[in-house]
Formats: sequence, C-alpha cells, structure tokens
Amino acid sequence: MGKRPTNYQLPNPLTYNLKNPNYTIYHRAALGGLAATIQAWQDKPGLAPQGIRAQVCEDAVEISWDSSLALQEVIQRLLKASFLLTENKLIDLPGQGIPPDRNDLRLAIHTGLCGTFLQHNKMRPGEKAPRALSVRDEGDENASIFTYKAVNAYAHQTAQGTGLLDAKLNGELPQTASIPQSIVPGAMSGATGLEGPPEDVLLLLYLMVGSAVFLLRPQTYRDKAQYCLVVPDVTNLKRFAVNLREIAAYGTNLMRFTNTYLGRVVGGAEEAALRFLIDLQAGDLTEEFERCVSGCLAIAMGKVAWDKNQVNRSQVVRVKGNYPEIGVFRAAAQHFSRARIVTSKEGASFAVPQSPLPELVAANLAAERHWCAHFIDLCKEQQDFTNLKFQKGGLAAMNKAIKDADDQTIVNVFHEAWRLTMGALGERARKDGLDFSRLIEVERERVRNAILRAKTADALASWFLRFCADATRGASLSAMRHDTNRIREFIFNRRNFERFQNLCLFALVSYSAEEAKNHTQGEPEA
Amino acid sequence: MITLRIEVPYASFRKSYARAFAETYPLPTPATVYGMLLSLVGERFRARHQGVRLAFAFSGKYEDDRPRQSPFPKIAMTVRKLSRYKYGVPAKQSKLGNTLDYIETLCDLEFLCWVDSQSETNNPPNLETRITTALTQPESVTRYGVLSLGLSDDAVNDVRLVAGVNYGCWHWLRPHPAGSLELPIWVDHVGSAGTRWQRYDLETEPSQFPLEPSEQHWTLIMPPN
Repeated sequence: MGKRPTNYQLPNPLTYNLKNPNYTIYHRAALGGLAATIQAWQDKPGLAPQGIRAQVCEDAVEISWDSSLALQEVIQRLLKASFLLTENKLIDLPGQGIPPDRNDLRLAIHTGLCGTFLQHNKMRPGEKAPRALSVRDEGDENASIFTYKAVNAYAHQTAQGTGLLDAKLNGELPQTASIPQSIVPGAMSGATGLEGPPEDVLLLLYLMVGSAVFLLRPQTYRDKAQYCLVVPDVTNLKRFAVNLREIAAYGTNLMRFTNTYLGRVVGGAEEAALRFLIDLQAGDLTEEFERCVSGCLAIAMGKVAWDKNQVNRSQVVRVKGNYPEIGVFRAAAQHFSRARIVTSKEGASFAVPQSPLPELVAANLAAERHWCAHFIDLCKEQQDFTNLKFQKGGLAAMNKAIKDADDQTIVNVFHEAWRLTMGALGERARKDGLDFSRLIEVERERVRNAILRAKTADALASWFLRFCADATRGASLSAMRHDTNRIREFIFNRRNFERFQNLCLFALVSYSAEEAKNHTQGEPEA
Repeated sequence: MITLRIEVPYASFRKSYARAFAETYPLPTPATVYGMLLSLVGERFRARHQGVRLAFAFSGKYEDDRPRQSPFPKIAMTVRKLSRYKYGVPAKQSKLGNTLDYIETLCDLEFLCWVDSQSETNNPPNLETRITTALTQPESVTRYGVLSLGLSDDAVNDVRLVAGVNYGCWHWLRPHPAGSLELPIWVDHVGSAGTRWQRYDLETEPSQFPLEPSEQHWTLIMPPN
C-alpha cells in the first residue's frame, strides 16, 4: 500500500446526520450504535471519555472536543470508552446496556461477534484454551456449561486495519481510511480495499454496537449457516438508543425474545430479524408512526463448500418492520422462543431451537409468501409429523393469530369436521370396546396421507368435501354453511392448491380439544 | 429531454460493500445506467457528460400485459465463478484461479429512462444528442462490445427512443431523503471513498398518463468534488 496523504481535518464539532444521502444502512445502524453508546455515557458519567462532549437528537449526533487534543487522541478516547472487556474477557459494549450480571446474554453476543466481525484470530488475540461459563435459563434449575474463547483485546479498541490510528501519522488523520472485514463482515479487500473518509470509517466501527448477532442453528435448510447479523435501518436515533438498551434491561413487563443466551439461538436469519425487530419495537406498539427502525437487513454467515478458512456471508434478506400476519410469527415465537439445550458426552452444551415453526413462518413472511407455505415439508416424514403433535399449544396460538379470512374459514371448517370425526370414533370405541387413542392415531395418519397424496387442486378439493361429508354423515357443517361461497371460491381456485394443502395439514396438527370445548362437550382429546 | 425504453433479461448490480456474497441492489442504479448510456454512445471518459439528469420509471406489467407481483424485479440467486483478484484474496488468483460465490441476479428488467442534458457542463454535443444519433444512425458511432447493463455478460435486449408514454403501467423512482432504497449515483471503482449514494422510493401506485418527469423525479449525475 502506498503512503497515505495526511493532515485530514475532522470538523469540530463533528455532526453525523441520519439523513445524510451518502449513508447506507450500515452507516445508519452504526449511527444508532453510536447514539446508544453516548446514551450509556450519559447514564454512567464515569464511562464518558475525558475532554469530549457528545449529544444525541432524533436524527443527528454531535461530538465536540477540546481543541488542544490531537485528532488521533480524540479517536482513541472515544474507542476506549465504547469498546470494553469484562473481567471474564468477554466483549462488553456499553451501548447495548447489558447489566453486569447478565453473562448469559453477553456470552451469546461475544460468540456471535467472534464469528462475524472478529472472525480472524488477529482481530481478537486471546487465550488458546477455551473458558467455560455456566448459564442458567429462567425457570431452569440446572445450569448448563458453555465454552467460549476469551479475548485480550479486539480490533475495534484500536481501529485496527483502518489506518486511523497509524503511529506514523503523529496524531493526524489520513485523507482516507480503510474499511476492513472486522468493520463490515464479508467486506474482503480484493485488489483495492474498501475505503471511506475518516469520520465515516470511525462511525462504521459502531456498526457492531447497533447490530444484533444471533447464533444460527437451522433445521429446515442452509445447514452450514452459523451466525446471523441483523443490521437495523434506524429512523430515530434517540428512540433507537433507548429501545436497544431496554432489550437487556430489568424491570420491563414486556416479553422479550432476544434478552437471554437461548433467545439468541434461532433457526433462520429471518427469524432472528423479526425477533430483534419485535423486541426493538416492544415499547412502540401504540405509536405506529414513530418507530425507531423501518426494517432491517439479516445476513446469515457460515462455512461455504469452497472456502473452509472463513465464515462467509451466505444469505442476505431484507426484512420489513411489519407484515399482515406478523401475529402468527409472534405467537410461534412466544411458544417456541426458548431453545433447548443438548449436552454432549463430554459435558459440553449446545443449544438448538425448540421448533422449526418460527423459522418457517419468518422465512415465509420475509419472502412475501403465504405464512404457511412449505408447511408440508414439516409433515412429509412421519417422525417430523409426530413431533409437531407435541407442539399443539403453540400451533393453537398460531391458529388464533391468523388474520386472513380465507385461512380462518378453511381451518375452522377442517377443525369442525375433525371434531365430528373424532366424536364418531369415540362412539365406535365405546360401542366396540376399542382403544380410542389408537383409532384417532390411525385416522390422523390416513388423513395426512390423503392430503399429501393429492396432486391436483381438484383432487384435494374433492377429498376435502368428502372428508366434510363423511364427518357429518351427509349433513353440512355449520362453518361451511356460513361461508359457502368463500369456501367454494377458495378450494376450486387452482392457484390456491399449495396454500390449501398447507392449511389442511396445519389444521390437522393444530386442532386443540381446549378450543373444541367451546363447541361441544364430552369428546376426549386426541 | 428524450425518453428511452430499456429491456434487460437479467442483470446484477453488486452492492458497494458486498465482497463475499454478491448481493444486488433491488433496481438498476443511476450510476450504472449512466455508464450504459456512455457505452451506447461510445464515450470512454466518465465525466464527459457530468451534469446530465436522469429520471426512471419501472414497469408494473410483463410484456404480455400480465401484472407483476411487484414493480421490483424478482431476484434469483446462483453460484458463479468470480475473480479473486477483484473480490477475494488477490494473491491467490494466479495460483488457484477464480473462486465460487453466491451472486444475486435481477430478472426481467424493463424501465423507462428520461435523459435531460440542459445542465451538462461540458461542450456539445450533449448526451441527449449523442444517444439520438446512436439509435437513429448507429453506423455513425464508434463503440465496442455488446451493450450491457452492469456486468459484461448482462446484455441489454433493447434500447429504443419513445415519444410520449401513454401505455403500460409505470412506477416512478423518486429521490427522497428518507427513502427505503439507497442507490449509488457515482461509483468510485478504486477504493470506495468517492462513491456517492442517494436515497429513493419506488412509488407503489402506478402513475397517470401522460408520463412525464417532474422536478422531484430527476437525479443529477455529478462526480464528487
């Protein structure tokens, strides 16, 4: 690399404006991280850098300093106050406001950061032997042991690789600074590395603070993805700074999805993004038009077949702030939010998501597909289908959260037909002295196979009508009577075939006897 | 002012910070379209037509009049071989050759581009005139290579002059300080310190006819100082 020209004058005060047209989503997320860090300094004045004043408003951050300070000294002081380490040598970012005793959440973030921003050993020199940390989940009596790599220092503390704090510059700044992979994950250098003005590169260092990292354990696809980085598109700095720090704070009555170690273990990038967005917006639910983010970018990172050395970006998804069926995801996430812990023979613990349902629904919403698309993939194997039956509470909650009238109608008709079918089987079991559970099991399997084997819209529609007619022994279902036209139009529309098939399977596994009690009495739950 | 109708079967507009995993901008960027127009007229000096203004509208219907699900083109993801020299570890290029990577590609692009040369700062002929000449008297233009939008394999299917747009279904791309899209209007290919972006919104409702850009739709093409 050639010698950099020096003597770049950083304006004092330095103002970062959220509406700067030259800012990308990375800059805006980094600005959110900087705003949250400044907020942390205001909450704990002991943390604030000496000789530097900073203030945050809704769309700008202003930093000023004593004119006697050299520019490199200003940057050093800013970084020293922003990027810390705990006694356990875990990465500590004051801007994220994680309380000192929340080592479980800090551990998840530390592991995620070491796998994404700081994936190269040179970016985070540390101990060779892994350390162990005991993590206890809420309501869990036994603690689980997780291992991590303790770090002695990390790139952001010294703006490593940017050239900003190059000792040869004698306190001055270069005309342009480099943007290494430790600042924007996946930004490999190539023949000519990425560069930017010094103030922009300084800002991008805070991308680590403004983003959320998750540990990916995909069940449905992309087995190689290991981490997910969620980059929010910040629209209101002040509110974002407060909400980001609220996620890990105590004393909030709102349910949070991402404030524990297990909450940071997810099945897919889209699920991670939606969880983070819901948590960020938890306090804003009544203020629809004043949200602090307009959406986010979810970046899945993992090993690819052609590069065994580093963790590459393998998927980038843009996720919006809201979707018509977000309630279905919220219900799924609420019931399946806690990952389960698997312990190996050596005693090491691994967390895996409790269910593939939040991952599936989130992926569908982000891709603008029907929320239930590809549900059939979870029902094709008998073992997977059996597993779904144990998730009835969550499935029933998802069912209640459906907003689409067509979906509601189909599921309700199916449930009513299934309830009557079970009633008939119960009668037969009592009369012939048969095992009711076994009868239900056989019937459910028969229905599953019939739905899976229907290859055309017509075949599925005629099976559905026969199933309803058999259940009522020729009479019509009350749900069918109310919405005859809607049902007819839906099931005979060939474009709805896959959606109809997925909804039937969803209805089959989501039937809950609790709900059925509202309609009938005395029928045992399957 | 002239209006061009441009069709491209597929194209990729790699995001400025994307190295591993070639994600694309969701729409053709003004900087790339300007580059394509320079190629069309056989101009090699990038700042030759600085000051030109461009406006864009994207089609909401397919060629056979079926409505598109969204005015944003669909994105396909494929695995391709790419140069390590440009986006990977340059030192490994001579020994290991190209490497695989995921690349996103926009499919079935169709858009209108208005070109206004009134504020061009260099001497005539201006870009409007040169484009008109290139399309009406192609034998008079000296240029090389197949016309492409972005990467050299993303060939342009059709560029034609249109007069008065009174057909189809078009969505304006509107510069907006808080827009949800950020598209580069000038790209620094050596490093990225000189790259300039602008934020945009793609209007969700199609526009009324006759289609003509107002002051708010223009993007000024100007290199950084």
